Amino acid sequence: MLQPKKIRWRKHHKELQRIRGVSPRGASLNFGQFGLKAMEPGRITARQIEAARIAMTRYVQRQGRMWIRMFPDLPVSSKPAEVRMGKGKGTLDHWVAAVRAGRILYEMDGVAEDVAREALRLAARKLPIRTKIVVRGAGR
Amino acid sequence: MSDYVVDAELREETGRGNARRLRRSGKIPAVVYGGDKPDLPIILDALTTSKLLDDEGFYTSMVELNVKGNRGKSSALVKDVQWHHLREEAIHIDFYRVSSSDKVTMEVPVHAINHEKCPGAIAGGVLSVTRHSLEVTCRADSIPDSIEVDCSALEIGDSIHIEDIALPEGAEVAHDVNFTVLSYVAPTKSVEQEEEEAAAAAAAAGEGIEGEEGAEGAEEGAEEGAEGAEPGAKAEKAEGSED
Repeated sequence: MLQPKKIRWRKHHKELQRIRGVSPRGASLNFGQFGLKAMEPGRITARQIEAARIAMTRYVQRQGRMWIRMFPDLPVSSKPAEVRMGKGKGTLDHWVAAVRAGRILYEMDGVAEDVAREALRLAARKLPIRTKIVVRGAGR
Repeated sequence: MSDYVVDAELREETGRGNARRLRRSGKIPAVVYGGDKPDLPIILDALTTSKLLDDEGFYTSMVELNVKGNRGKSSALVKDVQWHHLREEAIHIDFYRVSSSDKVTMEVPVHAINHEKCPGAIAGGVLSVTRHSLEVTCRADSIPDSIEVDCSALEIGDSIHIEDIALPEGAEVAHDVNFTVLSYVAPTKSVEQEEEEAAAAAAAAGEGIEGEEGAEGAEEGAEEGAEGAEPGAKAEKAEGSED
């Protein structure tokens, strides 16, 4: 699973400003012919990113190339079960990628359009936000 | 005579509020600038303009602008298009006034041809386009619609650089560095696939020496049993110390 190699601080704030508004960067296809675009903001966990990646690679069976355009660099902490509130912030539980609306999440190339669409549809089923499949077009 | 003719109206009010009102009523705000004349804010019809925007040639051809209420016609190039971040709609267009003899630098899309039959594709490689467009300097009336790159001889590991591309007469690439435009690469292999392949190879190798493996397996089982007993004993000790 994706996670930062080294970190300066173990626990962060929720950093909700990172998911508010529209995506100023990463909103257009940069590498491949097909992509998956986030239609709403949200936090995508490293597990979900990996599950979607596996779904795509299994479907295309070693054909083509794919790019992951997000990275889970925001740590999320949680308290153990049946623990009373207080006594400080919980321990690091998992990593999430903060995604704004419009962000391209995955890109794909080197496969036929119907194969890419099905692979991206399978990947979208693993994600907690609404997404859309985009295709490189004239001027975009 | 230009291939593309765009009818427009003069835009008297500018600003965010007016632009939003225009978009809601099926129009696109745009602006024409460049040359000796002052900037000209204009309004375009969204439906007709969106059809033009789907045409690749619209971005590299001179466009004839007929602005209602403004005397004379002007020819311009599409300088920039702002897209909505979610819907595939243009929200603003910039036109740059040029005359046909002007030298301009434009982004021209790159198209790979014959890549399906090349040795790299037959060997299972993937075409990786590093630069989907190139900056080309040429006369405004002779900008190529696209740059076609012949990939028929590419193998896995081969690449085509800017210098290898033949451009139409009068056009030259505006890049100083000889960038890679496209290459044929081996398909991405995940860790899982590598593991699966390794397991399959090990199984295939193991079929020949089944008898030996059987003996080893028995020994391993005995060892595992001995190891398994140890953690349990440690756990008991730990529990005892807590009490």
